[in-house]
Amino acid sequence: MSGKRSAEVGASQPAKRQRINEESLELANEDDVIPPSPPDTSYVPKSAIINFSALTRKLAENKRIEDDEPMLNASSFDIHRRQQDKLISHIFMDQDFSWLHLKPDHQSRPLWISPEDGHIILEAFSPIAEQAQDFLTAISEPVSRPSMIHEYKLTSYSLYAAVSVGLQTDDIIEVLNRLSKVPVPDSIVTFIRGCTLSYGKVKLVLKHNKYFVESSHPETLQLLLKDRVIREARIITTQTDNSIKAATFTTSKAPTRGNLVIPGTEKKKDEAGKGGPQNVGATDADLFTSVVGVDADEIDEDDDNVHAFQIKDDKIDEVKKRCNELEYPMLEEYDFRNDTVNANLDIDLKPATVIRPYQETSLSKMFGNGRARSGIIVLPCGAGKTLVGITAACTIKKSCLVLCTSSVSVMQWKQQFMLWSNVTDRQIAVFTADQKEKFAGDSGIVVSTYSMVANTHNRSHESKKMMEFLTSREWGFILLDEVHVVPAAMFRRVVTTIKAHSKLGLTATLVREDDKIADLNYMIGPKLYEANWMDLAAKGHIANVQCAEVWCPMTPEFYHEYLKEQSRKRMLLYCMNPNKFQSCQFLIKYHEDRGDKIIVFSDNVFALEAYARRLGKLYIHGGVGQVERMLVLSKFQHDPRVNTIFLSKVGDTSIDLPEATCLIQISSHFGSRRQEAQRLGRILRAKRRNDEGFNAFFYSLVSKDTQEMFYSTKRQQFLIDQGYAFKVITHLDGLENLPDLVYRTQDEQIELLQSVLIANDNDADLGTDIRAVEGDLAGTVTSKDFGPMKFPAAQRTTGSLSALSGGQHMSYVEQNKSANRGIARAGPSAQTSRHKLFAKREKDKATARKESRAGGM
Amino acid sequence: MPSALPAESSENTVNPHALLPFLETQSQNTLTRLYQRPSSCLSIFRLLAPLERQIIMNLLWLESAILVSTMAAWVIREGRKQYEEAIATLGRLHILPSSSGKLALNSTFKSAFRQAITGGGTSGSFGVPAPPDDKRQPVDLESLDSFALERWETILHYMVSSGSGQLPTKPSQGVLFLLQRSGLMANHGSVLQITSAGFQFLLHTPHDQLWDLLLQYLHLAEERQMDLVEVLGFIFMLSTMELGREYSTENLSGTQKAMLEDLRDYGLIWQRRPSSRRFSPTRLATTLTSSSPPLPTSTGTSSGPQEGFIILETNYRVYAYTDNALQTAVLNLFVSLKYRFPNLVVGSITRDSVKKALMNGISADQIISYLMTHAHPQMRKNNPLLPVTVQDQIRLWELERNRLKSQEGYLYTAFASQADYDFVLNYAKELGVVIWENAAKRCFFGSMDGHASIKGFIERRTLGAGS
Amino acid sequence: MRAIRGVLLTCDPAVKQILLMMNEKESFIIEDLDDHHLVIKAEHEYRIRKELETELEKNTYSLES
Repeated sequence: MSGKRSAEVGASQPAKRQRINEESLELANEDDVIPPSPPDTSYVPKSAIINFSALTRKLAENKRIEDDEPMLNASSFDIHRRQQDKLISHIFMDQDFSWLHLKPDHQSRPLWISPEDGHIILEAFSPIAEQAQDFLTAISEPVSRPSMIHEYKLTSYSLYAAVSVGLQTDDIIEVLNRLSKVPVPDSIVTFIRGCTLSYGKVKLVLKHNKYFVESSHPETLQLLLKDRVIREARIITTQTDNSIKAATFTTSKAPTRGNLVIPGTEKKKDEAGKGGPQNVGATDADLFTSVVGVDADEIDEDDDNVHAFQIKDDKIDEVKKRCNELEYPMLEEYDFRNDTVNANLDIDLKPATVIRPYQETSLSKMFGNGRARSGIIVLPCGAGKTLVGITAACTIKKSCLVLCTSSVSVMQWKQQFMLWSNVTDRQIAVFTADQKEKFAGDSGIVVSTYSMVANTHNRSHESKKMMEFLTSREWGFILLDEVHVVPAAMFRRVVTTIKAHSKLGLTATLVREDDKIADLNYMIGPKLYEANWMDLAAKGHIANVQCAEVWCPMTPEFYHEYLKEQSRKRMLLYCMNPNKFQSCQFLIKYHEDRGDKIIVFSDNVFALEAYARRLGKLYIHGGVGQVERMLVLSKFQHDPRVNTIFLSKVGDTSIDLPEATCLIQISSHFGSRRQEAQRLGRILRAKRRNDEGFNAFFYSLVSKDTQEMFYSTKRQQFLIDQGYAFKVITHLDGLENLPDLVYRTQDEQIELLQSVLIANDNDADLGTDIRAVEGDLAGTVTSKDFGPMKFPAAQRTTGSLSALSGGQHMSYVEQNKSANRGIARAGPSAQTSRHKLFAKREKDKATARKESRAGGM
Repeated sequence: MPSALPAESSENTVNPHALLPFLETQSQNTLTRLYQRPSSCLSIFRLLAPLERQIIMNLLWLESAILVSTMAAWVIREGRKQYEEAIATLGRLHILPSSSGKLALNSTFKSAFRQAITGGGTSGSFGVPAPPDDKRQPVDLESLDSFALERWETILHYMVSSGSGQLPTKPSQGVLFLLQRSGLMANHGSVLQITSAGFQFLLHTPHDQLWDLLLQYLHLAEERQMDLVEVLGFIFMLSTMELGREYSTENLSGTQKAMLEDLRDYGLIWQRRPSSRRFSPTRLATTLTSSSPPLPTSTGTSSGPQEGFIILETNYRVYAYTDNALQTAVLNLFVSLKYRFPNLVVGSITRDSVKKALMNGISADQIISYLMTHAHPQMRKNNPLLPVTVQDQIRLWELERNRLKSQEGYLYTAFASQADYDFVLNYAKELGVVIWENAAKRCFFGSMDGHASIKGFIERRTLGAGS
Repeated sequence: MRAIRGVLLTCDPAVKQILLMMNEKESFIIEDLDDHHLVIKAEHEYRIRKELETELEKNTYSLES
């Protein structure tokens, strides 16, 4: 007996497995970059369990090596396998790549590449995942980055970006091959070659206020000139220059790399013992170059002489676009240190300013070869985009134009510049509808909005003069904020009117399905860097957030109306759902008790006011005056009794409230993934994010069985791909026991319903409070003008809401007063004309109130 | 907040082996005959829970009975319930016959089991090795394994592919009949199609699947009036045999020889030719009663819970480290698959893919439990194992399907008086057919099967009132 | 006393509202019992389930992948 069992245990496998391991070790040694995986001792079977994958592989191998098993038809198992494979292959259609040959040491390599669409799947738990991620972010688009497996995709844009940060075709293919479990498929090699070989050969250079197309390959320029669009854009120069060599092109010496130091990074290394994060950054970079296997120095080796021809200013946009189409995208690089024509701007970061490792990484992509590359940096909201922009400006040290979306942002940018850098008040100027300043001296910074610069109509005299100032000079650097919201036409105008040597676009959410990516690519440049949200959260740069979707069933009455209604009113019905009202009240109470500071977001202004008034909270929307608005914000920041505020769309961007630790969404802009990300961004920089075990909270209240469910799922996709998980909450424990729960009775709910039904159709619209004024981008961002605006609908319904409450709802009336009025006596009067229908009820109510008061005495 | 599975607490929640309830239904006579075979005793012993095994070991070498109270003195108060259950199980198996005040092992069991442990005896219940064959090498383990795999996967693949428009290899008639008999597949017109029980079966562990089928085989054997002791005895014999060794068919009974074909079809034994006088058990057979983790019948990187192959991400992506067609086909039951690499399959859990599975009769819990059982070692760092949000969502999708329940029956309404209503309602309640009632509206809804009785009751009452 | 043959539907209030709307187009409800219960004509059940599913399906978003 015992002999039997020991034989069973023994089997003959360990010896053979050993052999396989040896083979893979040998093969792995070919690449010293990727360490071979250590022999996995846990792999050896301890009992009669068999490891079937090993077995299958072994079987397959044996079949290949020798065929001396005559007793069992040797290939019958293979045939069986092949038959089975055929049965499932159809599931994958053209995405069955099981025919790819796994490298013997595939276990120590972290990724797979799809030959069909350039999709890359990365094991983020691999020991070399971090380097691989660095590399992949440089050459491909991140698709999803949750915790264990990440996906990327090679696109022509991403490869263009790779070339522009200094990677070369062969390096890309080689590194990819080193990291891949399967040999890089030929289709992908061809694709990479096709996309990268012509990239980077042509540059757009601004010299002496003139644009030149420059290349070290004269034949490329010849080729481009065969294109009609480009030929017609060319200016045949009569003017001579001592560097002119032949009648065709200007030739000059190519720029070389020096020891550029990005401010805010190096100085910390000098301080003994405090080099922590910076060292990490440096090691990352080292690893990256070691993975890439090429030092940026080598890139310009053959760039001895460059050739160029001049093009017309107003044609550069067309030429750039055309070059993209011809697959010769133009790189824009600015050799600012050798620019002796434009005056230097003597600014630097303040000594105390230190930038974070990922900010440095993003900047190193921009300044990697000692020059300033144009492109886009993508960082999550709250991850310090502004500081990246300011650091870039302090690196280039030339005149700089900052364009943002609204005049509110203009002021914030200026203030941030003053905060982080040593720029003086006379060096920085703003250009808005209200202020038209110029800086003193030869160089300086101007902060303005896209519309101020792009707008051609109705310019005031002052504006015209200001524009002349902007267009007549050469800018070293143009900083473009929130690039994802700017319409292409507006960009085009900016790009063609302002002459800048280098451009940097900043954004938090480059949502992939945007057509914008194509536009941005040729108008600004490739995406230089995109941060990993989860990674930043794990390292404490942005807050950890718990996301939840709270399902609020519609009350039968509301749902009945919802089903009947086909118009926009539906939206109002699901926003005003009493169950959602209650959930909101409950969550506010719950989080206030925990010590959280809460922002409630509502795109719908009608709902915003109704909620805020009923729950007695302060609110800000476009109709709230500037003074009152500041008062509300400051109360929220400093008054321990004010822990919740309601914000309309005006709060989506540009309002910086690091006190906030909890967000509740009650109404949002349809299925906008970007808005969801932007809103999440409001709590990512929570002050308390580095507290032990701190979590911020992000709730979306969704009315069940309505369109809102559809939108809600759609909205979350972007964040889910960043690794966020939305928990569905179907029931809030303890909600029923909340004292003074609103709309508890059916009567109250029906009254609420009536107020919704009589509301104007326009009240259902979203973001109605946002009106752009001169200088601001319409409908997209914070409107500067918070002064009195016409809100007839909102005001009327305010009246009708209170009119609706009968005498028995005394407390309701009291609560429904705007809490705002308590703090800002200056608020506009809510007294308005009331709907005729309610005039009588109003009177009854007054009588009832009087009676009840009398009774109470 | 919703969700959270009941925490799995220690081993006392482990379900008894599927064969034990079947054995308990057998007569004392059958069991005693079975217990004459040392191999059967050893196999059954292996299938028992640890406590039951311990009780047997305590009593095995005692020559006389022991007082119940003496034995009970060993048991701590917290263990009492467990202890009593163990005693009851052993009683039902007639291993520990219940007698007043004393405990002693069934003497047949005792002597056969002693023999199994110490060796000796000539019953040949562990099988009789065939004499060495001079002409041929004995079959090697790899060939045996590939044979077993091929047979077993053919069966499962046939099931999973039915109705998909694919034409998989057909298992033998005997297997097809068994699949049908067991309700795992059913005839739809002329073709066999997998049933919802079949879909659920596919998500079980290989060990459970094997025993599921063998149990069905045992039921079938009963119906065919085969000698159950011979059938069980043979299965147990196989489970104690040595892998890679050849055994002689000479000593097998007629029933057992007849079983050889079926067992070949399932992949439990291998024979060079149907007429061969020797046979070799495969790993499927020799691990039948092994206490090692579930039997790895399907390939891929998994061979048990400690070596899973599935990664489930918070973005609903599923990454399965497998090159196995069967595992892939099983995943396809509830995952929308997208890419396939040599050793990896990529897909997503979507509402549609889960809905499809639910429609096939697979439950949310089964999907979740499959994902948990086969979770990749990387996932084991997570607590909880699977992303809660995904688990919740799968359950919510299931709930979504059950938003409308319907029951056919009769609405009883318009009662003349409250007394009438109460009277009829009480009667209906006694019958247990009331599904809904409302005293204020004076009506209730009764199920279909209660109607005849209620109607009769009312008629009798009306008649009674009239007379 | 009356006994009416039919199908008892048990559902949540939202589903019931959808059924009531459907009933306005083509009547099938025998008796509206309470927030969670309806008695309907048996022959309509299949159609109603289909229509209900279509209605609820409108509110779900699925990934196109």
